[in-house]
Amino acid sequence: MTTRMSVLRTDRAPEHFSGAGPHAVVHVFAEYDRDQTIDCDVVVVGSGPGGAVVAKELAEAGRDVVLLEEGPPFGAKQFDLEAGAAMQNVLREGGTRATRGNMFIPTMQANALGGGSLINSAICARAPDWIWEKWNRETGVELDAATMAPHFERVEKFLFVEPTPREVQGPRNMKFKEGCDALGISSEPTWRNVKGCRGSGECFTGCRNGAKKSTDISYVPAAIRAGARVYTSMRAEHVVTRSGRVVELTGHVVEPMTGRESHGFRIRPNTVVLAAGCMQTPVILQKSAALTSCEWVGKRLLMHPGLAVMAVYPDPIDPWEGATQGYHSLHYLREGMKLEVLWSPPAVLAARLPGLGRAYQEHLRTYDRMAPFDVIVAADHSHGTVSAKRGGWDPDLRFHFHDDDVRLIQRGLGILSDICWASGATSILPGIHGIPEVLGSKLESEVLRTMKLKGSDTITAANHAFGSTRMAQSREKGVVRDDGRAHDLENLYIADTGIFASSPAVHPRLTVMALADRIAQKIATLG
Amino acid sequence: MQRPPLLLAGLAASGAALAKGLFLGYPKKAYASGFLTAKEQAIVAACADTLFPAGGPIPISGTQAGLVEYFDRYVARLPEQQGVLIRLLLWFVEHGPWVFGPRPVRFTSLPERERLRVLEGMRTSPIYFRRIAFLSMRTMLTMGYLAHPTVARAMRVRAHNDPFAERGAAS
Repeated sequence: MTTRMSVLRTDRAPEHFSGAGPHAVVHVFAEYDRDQTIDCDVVVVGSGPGGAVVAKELAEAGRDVVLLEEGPPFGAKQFDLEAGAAMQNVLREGGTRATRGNMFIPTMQANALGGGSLINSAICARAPDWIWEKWNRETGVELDAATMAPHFERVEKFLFVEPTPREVQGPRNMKFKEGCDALGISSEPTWRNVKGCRGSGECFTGCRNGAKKSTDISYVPAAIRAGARVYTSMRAEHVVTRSGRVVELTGHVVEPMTGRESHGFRIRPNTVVLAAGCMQTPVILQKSAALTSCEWVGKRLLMHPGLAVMAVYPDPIDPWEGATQGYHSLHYLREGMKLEVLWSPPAVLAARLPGLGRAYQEHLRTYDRMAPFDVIVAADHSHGTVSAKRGGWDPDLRFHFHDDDVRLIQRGLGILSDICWASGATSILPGIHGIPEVLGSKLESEVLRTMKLKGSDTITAANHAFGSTRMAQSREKGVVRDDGRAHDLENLYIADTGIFASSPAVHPRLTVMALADRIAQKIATLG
Repeated sequence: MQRPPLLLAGLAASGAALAKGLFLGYPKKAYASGFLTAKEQAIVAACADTLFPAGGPIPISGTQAGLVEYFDRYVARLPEQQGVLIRLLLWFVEHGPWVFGPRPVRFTSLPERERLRVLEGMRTSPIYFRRIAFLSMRTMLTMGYLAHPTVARAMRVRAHNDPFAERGAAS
């Protein structure tokens, strides 16, 4: 097996796709005209960062792999720059998904071939060494930086992970650097999985240049090349278990955009890998009544809440130009904070702009002088739940943003305001209820530090989510082992961010891909 | 016991006035093949032109930017449950003045100045749910407004998938 893997495992993403492109042999909704029964060795549910890695690695190891994806494939020509259409095309619940709890927190989760990798900013950051130590202390998982290093290296090499080059940063990113430099706060270009980025700032609506190596144009084509069969518009719904094993996976074909169910399908695999994301995998398990004896399924949803302020400069900086998130600061990472440049369609960020009517229009008209900077926090005190709803497949999400974490994000706001002033901003639009809507001086912005901030005063979003099926050495503390295998089902694995023991401190994607690479290797060596 | 005729007439008149205040007097559909009802389209139009008035720093109003059609299409494409919530949001705005002021009439029956007060009240409300309702509405309408080429030009938004190459070529 090792010899075969060493021969077949590829290190670089295919740059040229034969025929009609990377999705040419992907099965799509229009092809399904009857109920289907599919036999395979391994079925992988979800084509996002976790699932796509497992599918490619196992296919290259000679396993008969079926990769299922609920969403449809999107090509570069189908990416819509208009914010509303883009969100409705690619995001679950039409882009309106939010957690409930002590406040509403929007969370954007993708439903497309490539999953979240299609619409994120391509940021790649390794979970730092001390995170593995923390996870070991909390759950006993035997992972450390040295164990994970080869898996990180492998993913980074395959995806062309490199620092964002200066040529495509644009003024929005460089203003952030300028502010950090002036204050002595360390900052750096973000490392991203891109090749040939032109700084279009369109990551959120899908990269029309094909520069972002989302899994639909990197890992999935490699999996297909190695023999994997890829079915889109198929929603996995139930795992059927017998004598401690999964014997069948069932679900329905769903029409893209409408979600209308049509034909049913049954997959009969030897091994099941759930990588549907930390908000869908628990729903599959709960609706299947699988792993019901494990109290951790869906019980510890964790997130990275983030909050942005808008810096306003005296001259145009054309914020729509430049890498989406080209610069960040890891200076305060040990404190649980990351500072970064933010970008998404202007209409989405306009939520922070003050005023109504003509005043609001005036702010929109000066948008070309604005740059949004944000702070995301590890939120170690906050947690929530994922529950299956009756009569649907969208999860019921609860999340309580703890006061201690609100205080941390407030500290980050204070530092962000310093960065704004140090980079030459003439005002700040904080977008926070209860304080002046335009802060015109450093003195005025001290209110960001001194006010008694509540979570509900803010427009907080959280797109990084994890922990809902966490790994632990014992079944009393988690759902799966550190090799991704469920404690209570010998042929069920989980390979999405749900397995994180706690916050990875940074963007979760590279870490889940490295973990998925390791999980795939473990499965492959089982023969 | 026989009811006094005057009381009955008064009740009937009040009922009619209430029915008119709540349900009647809406214009026809602005966007004929729409998903939303004529009433819902009228609420969208009122919100759109309050948020984006004509003759402001950006030269076209919300309805001129096609926000009724945009909003209609947007709701039509949402999953059913989310679509219902958005429609409830419209009715929350429409009948908010009965509860929150400035006076007990529908939002669409108010003049622009008072509509502005209603939305401002939502925007700055101490009630979290009202603020969120406003924010949701404004975000959806802003997406549609910024999608209009005239608005994009006024904002000098440049959507280009190779901006720096274009700059280089120009210089």
